[in-house]
Formats: sequence, structure tokens, C-alpha cells
Amino acid sequence: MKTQLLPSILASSLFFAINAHADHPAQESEDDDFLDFSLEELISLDIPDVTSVSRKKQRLMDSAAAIYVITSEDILRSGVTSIPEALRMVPGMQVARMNGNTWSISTRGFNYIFANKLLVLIDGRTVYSPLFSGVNWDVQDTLMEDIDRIEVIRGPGAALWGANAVNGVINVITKKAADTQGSLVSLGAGNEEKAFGAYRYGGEFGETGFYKVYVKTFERDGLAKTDGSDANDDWKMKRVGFKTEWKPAADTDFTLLGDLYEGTTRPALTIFKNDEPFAGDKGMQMLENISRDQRGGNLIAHWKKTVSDTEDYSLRAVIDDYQNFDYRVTEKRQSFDMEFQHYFQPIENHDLVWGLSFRRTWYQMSDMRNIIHRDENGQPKDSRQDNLYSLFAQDDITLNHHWNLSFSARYEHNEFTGKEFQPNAKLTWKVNDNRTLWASVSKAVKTPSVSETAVLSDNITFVNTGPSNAILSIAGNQKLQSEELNAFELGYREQFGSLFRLDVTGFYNQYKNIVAYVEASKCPDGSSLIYPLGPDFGICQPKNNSLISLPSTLINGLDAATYGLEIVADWQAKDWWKLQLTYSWLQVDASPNSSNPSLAYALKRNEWLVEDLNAKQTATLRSSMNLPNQWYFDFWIRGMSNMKNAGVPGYTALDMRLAKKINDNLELSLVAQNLFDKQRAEFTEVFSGLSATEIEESWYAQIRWSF
Amino acid sequence: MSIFTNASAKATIKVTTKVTIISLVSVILFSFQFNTARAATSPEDKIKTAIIFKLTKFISWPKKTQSLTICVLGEGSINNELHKINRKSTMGRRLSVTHRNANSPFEKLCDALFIHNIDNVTVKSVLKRLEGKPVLTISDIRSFVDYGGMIGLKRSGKKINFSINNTSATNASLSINSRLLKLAKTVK
Repeated sequence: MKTQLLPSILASSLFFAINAHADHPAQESEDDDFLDFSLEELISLDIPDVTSVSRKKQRLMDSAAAIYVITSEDILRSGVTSIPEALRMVPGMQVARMNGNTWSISTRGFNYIFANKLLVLIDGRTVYSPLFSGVNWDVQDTLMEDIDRIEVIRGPGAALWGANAVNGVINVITKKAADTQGSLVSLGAGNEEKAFGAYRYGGEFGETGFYKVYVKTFERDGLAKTDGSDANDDWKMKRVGFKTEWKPAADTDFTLLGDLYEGTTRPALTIFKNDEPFAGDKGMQMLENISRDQRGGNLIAHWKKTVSDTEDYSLRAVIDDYQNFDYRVTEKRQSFDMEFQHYFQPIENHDLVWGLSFRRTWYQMSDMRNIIHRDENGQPKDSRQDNLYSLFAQDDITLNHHWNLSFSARYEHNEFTGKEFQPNAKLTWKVNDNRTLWASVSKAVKTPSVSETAVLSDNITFVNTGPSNAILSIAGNQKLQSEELNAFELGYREQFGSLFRLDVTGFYNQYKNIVAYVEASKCPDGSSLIYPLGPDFGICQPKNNSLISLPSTLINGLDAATYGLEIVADWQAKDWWKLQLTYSWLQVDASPNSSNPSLAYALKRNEWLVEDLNAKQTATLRSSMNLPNQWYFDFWIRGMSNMKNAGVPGYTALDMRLAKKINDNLELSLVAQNLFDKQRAEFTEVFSGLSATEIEESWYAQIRWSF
Repeated sequence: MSIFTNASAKATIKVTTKVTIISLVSVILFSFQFNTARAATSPEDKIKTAIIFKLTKFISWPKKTQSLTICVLGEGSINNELHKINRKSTMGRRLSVTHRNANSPFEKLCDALFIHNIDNVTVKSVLKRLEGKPVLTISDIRSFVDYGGMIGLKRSGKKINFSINNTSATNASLSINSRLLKLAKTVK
């Protein structure tokens, strides 16, 4: 692999990540390369790397996975103000905003606000909420300017990263304190982004230490209701954070980082209040202006000892605290994670990484109005504790200069299904320096979450039964098994000269035991069903003034096959103009896995649901121009075909950003998002009780000053 | 399988948790038993070495000899890289890279001295001894140029740049090419 130095205009672009020099233990030939550089080149060189795929650094071009990297430049130049918005850049990642603060983000199917087949990590800290089976995206945030990159793997990453990395892994990696020295001020205001500001300061301590601290705050306006009026689902957050790293010894690196945040959102809920005097459907009401406060904090310590080029040890410990004062339930959750990892070469051409990890999670639930955590007898239970431990290993075998084979496996023990084993095999064929083909076969599981096994959700889901509305309650099932995936992927990457690059991935996924909701045989309170409308339609006895209630529960009732294609094309049209086109196509075919006639209709309904969750096609086109006199112009068009289940027709959105650099340290910019769209629904759903609201055109101006 | 009530399963969990923690801890303790086999060289080491190699092309020494000796003071992975530039030629002079300890008579043995990974007290005393002597002092130690060192390498962000203390160099009768002074981040 020959290092190339590109003009600084391209530095840190994706091209650079591909062409640039990445250190690989198996390569000795490049040792003298740097000596041929001029001094000017040497001091303007930087070294990007990708760590998510194999847990050790490797060249993006050679990764045997559908990996996509959002660079820090991509984030700054697109004008996105949050991590979910940034994820819209990823081919095949379907991002939909349901209201002021709720997002549905997933890839390769199963698009839902309870998207539970995606593992999301921020600096190695996992941010999945087991109680809601999804990610509370509204509190996953950091200083956008300090994100080094977001690595997204589409497809299973379970062998290395763990259960729930079924459809993908999102790994947000922030910059080192050493790379963010000095002060940075970022301020902005607009019609939707009402006001936001951040300050970061980075400095040095001791002989090897660096630190940085930051504060960030924002206030976002609510979205719009269908009739155009303000939905009042504002979103405010405040956050402080720090990162520090030092070398206790020459071969040892220590990093400590953490943050604290608090904020509030006001998503409207449609719920049924049992205690109200009842007339018709009047007990059903929309609660607006109820605050949902969230706060939390975390601390991450990472220690790494480098023994040699081909051996290192690392240890990571994470403590995390999260408090969510939701109307439906108040949840407090603490978790402790510890992970050990060892990389070495037992024999030549074998790179072995193995590790152990342990996680304990404590929950306290109170005010369980609509989301009721229950014990095995169906009684409300206000606390629980879960453990998870796992062992993983990967052997990366360099067969020769062109062929690379890798095996990995993860053994995991969880509270719900006991032991799980997740293996994976990958083969990479480097046809030449500019062309790579790869194939991967993996097994991954999605273990049941707290919400699917021990939670009753009630009085927030309504179905129309003809004469009136009815309440659908969903009770978790303790006997749920894991959903299983067998995945097959093929990929092709090619670099055509220095101007054009293509990355194509095809996949075929077979899922077994997907969770479906079906009629329950008992009411939530344990009483028997009654059949006033015939033997096929069991309901629960309405209590005084109550709506009728249809009880349902969850079973592993579906199998599914999904297949699709994801394409990324990068084109350096001119030395000042870069374009990226992405396209994805996805097909989902679900089928009931039980021939039990009493379940037939319910499973059919789930089959349609699963098949119609996602958009079949998505596409994006991003353009970056460096104009004369330090002007920068970017635009971004993204399209999504219709999402039938969410009731959202296909749409195209346009974002633009114009920036002027006054000097190296001062930048002014103007951003327009969702241009020419008065308002647009992106997602609706019925199971959470949350009301869907619509996105409006947004304008904001921003100033960034570093000194 | 539900394990909330299953006492034997709970016990198993406890035991397995213990085993996990014990094995984690023992693995960690065990990891300290290893001796440093061969220090890893990072891209950073490689770039720093290349920079040191290039720097020598911009410096004029009062006496021009056939060879140019770079002495290295300090232990670490970069030493492997520095040895690779041994016997290469720079401006018609053959490089010789040798490792020394803190008490060596540098002014007699070296044309340039690279110091790294060593305590500040030693650094200051070495610089004191070499004050006014025509030995080019280079280091990646923080505040090296403030102590009177001539060239300080510094990583900032993903790049490595350097600062120059031209006063020290001039006092030692070394002349630094103006092109190099232009490339420096700061010049004292």
C-alpha cells in the first residue's frame, strides 16, 4: 500500500481515509516511505483509522464489513446539529423523526422507535435502553465539533460487539483531548434551533497529560401538528463533559472521560385515564405540555498497555446513570461495565484479539402509570438487577498479500435466555491495492429486553373495533426466546484513480423467532376473558366507565428474510468539489412460523406490520464545494420511498449550508434544513402513546470561533 | 428460561459472576508479568523519525565532517525507528545513530542529540551542560524549547509540528535555514 498525500483540501475526507496511510502490523514494506516525504508534507500529515470492524485499526478499504464513516468534516459541513441527523448520511440507514425528541433509526429493516437490533456506542459506552427497547436519542449527544468520526457497520457485528448488534453497530468516537486544545466557542440561533451554544477549553498538564472540558446547551422549538399549529414538544438540554488522557508510563495510555446532562422535552401523549368520569371515548385524552425530564451522567476509564507492535492489553470500565421522569413511568437506571481485551500474534500471520466483559444493570421504577414492570406473578415490581457476561475472540489470518480470513465468536450469558453463541467468518480478497472483494457469514441474536419480558404496557394503545375505540394492552412474556439471524454479505470496493470510488454491499438475512404481538389468553390482572361478541373475540371486562380492553402478549411468532443492496459512490469532480451519492434498496418478506389456526390472523397482521415498516428505497446526494475567498457551499438532497406502516408517503428533503471563513479561527455559517417543506410527517406509530408531530423548514445562523 | 425465582440458577449466576470477576482480575494481574518484548512503533514514531532526519538538512554546523552523529537519550519505541536511519546520508554526510546514557560527554560525541521519555531534571541538566556547544538538541518533551532546547517536536491534533529556539542555536554557532524557521510553529 503506497501512501499518497492529497492536497489539504481533501484532508480528513473519506478519500483521504482510503488513500491515507494506516499502520498495519503486517506491512513492513512502507517503513521507508516517510523518509521520502518533504518536511512540509510530514508536518501536514494525519492518520485516520477505523477500529469498529475488527477492534483493531485497519484500512477502510480492506474492512470485511459494510462500514461507513461519517467524518468530523462531514458533520461540520452538513450543518447537522444532532447525532440522529448525522446518521441520515449513512446508506441504508433509515432515520425518521416522530416528534420533537423521538426518533426511529434502523438499518436493514425493522424501522421503529423501539428499534432494538442496533447497537449504539458512544466512546465505547453502550446507550441502549432495555426498558423501552430502543435508544433515547434525545439524550445521546456531545459537542458536535468534537466528534472525531461516527463509524457505522451495517449488518451483524455481534461476534465482536455483543447481542443486539444484529442489524448494525453505530460507534460515535470523540476526539482526543490532545487534538482539541485551546478554546472553541460555537453559538447559533434560528427558527427551529432557537438558540444553542457551546464552549470547550483544552489544555495540558504534567509531562504527558492533556485535558478538555466543555459545556453545551440548546433549545429547540416544537414541531407542528397536522393542522399546522405548534405542537409544543420543545426540546432543551444542558450538558457538561470532560476528557483527559495521559501516559503513566511510556507504554501505557490512560483516558478518563465523562459527562453530565439534564434536559426536558414535552412530547404529547394520547392516553386513557381510568380515574376520570367516563362518557364514550372521553377518558382517552391527549396530554400536552407535560414535561418529560431526563438527566444522567457517566464516567469512562480506559487503560491500555502496549507491549509491542503486535501485542497490547486494554481495560475499560464504565459507570452510567440515567433518570427518566416520563409520565408513563419514572425510570432510574445505573449500570457498570467492565471489559478486558488482549491483542497478540500467537503465530506469524495470526492476529488474535480476545476479551472478557461483564455488565450489571440496576433499575428502579416508580409512578408506573402506563408502563408497568411486573414480577413473574404479574404484580408490580419496582426494581430489578440484570447481569450480562461474555467472552469473545477473533483470529485474523493473513493468508498472503491478497487473501485475508477472519473468524470470530462471542459467547454470552444473559438473564433472559441464558447462553448465546454468535460466530462469524469473513474473507477478504485484495485483488490489488485499489480493488477489494469481501464476503461474510454470521449468526447473531437479539436477546429479549426487559420491556418484552417483564413489562405491561396499558392504556396507551388504541384500536378501533367498529363501534368504539378499544384499549390494546401488551404484556411481556417471560418465556420469549432470542430472535436469531443468519446473515450473508458480499461486498465490493474499488478506487478508480484518485477521483472516483465505489463501495457496493449486498446482503441476505434470515431471521427466526421474531417477536410478534398476539391475543393473550388472560387479562393483565389475571382474570379470564369474556366473549360477548362470539368465540373469536375475547375481551376483558370493562371496569366502571372503562373502554373495553383487548389483552395481547408477545411470542416468537415470525420468520423473515430480508435482502438488499447498498451503494456509495464518491466523486472528486474538481479539486474544489466533492460529491457523494448513496443508494439503498431493501426487501422484507416475513412469514408466520406457526400453523396454529388460532394465531393465524394475529401473525398475518404482524407479517404485514414487519414487511411495511421500512422504506424500500433511500438515496442521498451530498455536495461539498470550496469556493474562492474562503467560501464553502454544501447541499444535501435525501429521498425516502414511502413507509406504509408509518403512513408516511415518500419524500425528498433538501438541506443547504453556506459558510465563510474570516480566517483560520473564525467561521460564519448559514444553514437551511428541510427547505421548501412547510411541514412533513416522517413517522407515526400506535404502541407508545406518543403523538406524532411534523417537521418544519428550519433556518439557523452559526458562528464558530477558536482561539 | 426465567430465572427470577429459580434459586439454583441464581446461585449459578452468582458463582459465574464471581468466576468472571476473578478471571478478569487474574488476567489483569497476569498481564503485568510480561516483559516488554519489543516496543511497538507507532506511525507517530515513524513520522517523528522522518522529521528528525529531514531537520538535519536545514542546519549548518561550524565544522563539517564526513559523518553526522545523532545521539539518542531515553528509552522507547522510537529508538527502533531511529536506528533505521543509521547510515543514511544527509547533505553528503553519513548519519550515525547511537544510543547514549545521561552522563555521556555529548559535546564530544554528538552533532545532534535527540532526547525523549526522560525526567525534566535530567533534561535541564543536559541542556545546561550543552549550552553554547554546537550540538543540535531535539526533543518531543513538552516545554523543551522553553528550557533552552533548540527544536521541540509536538503532536497537536493528528499532526506533528515543531518549535525552534533560534537563540539557543545561534549561541551554539549553529545556523538554521530560514525555510525551516518559516515551517516552525513558533520561533523563539
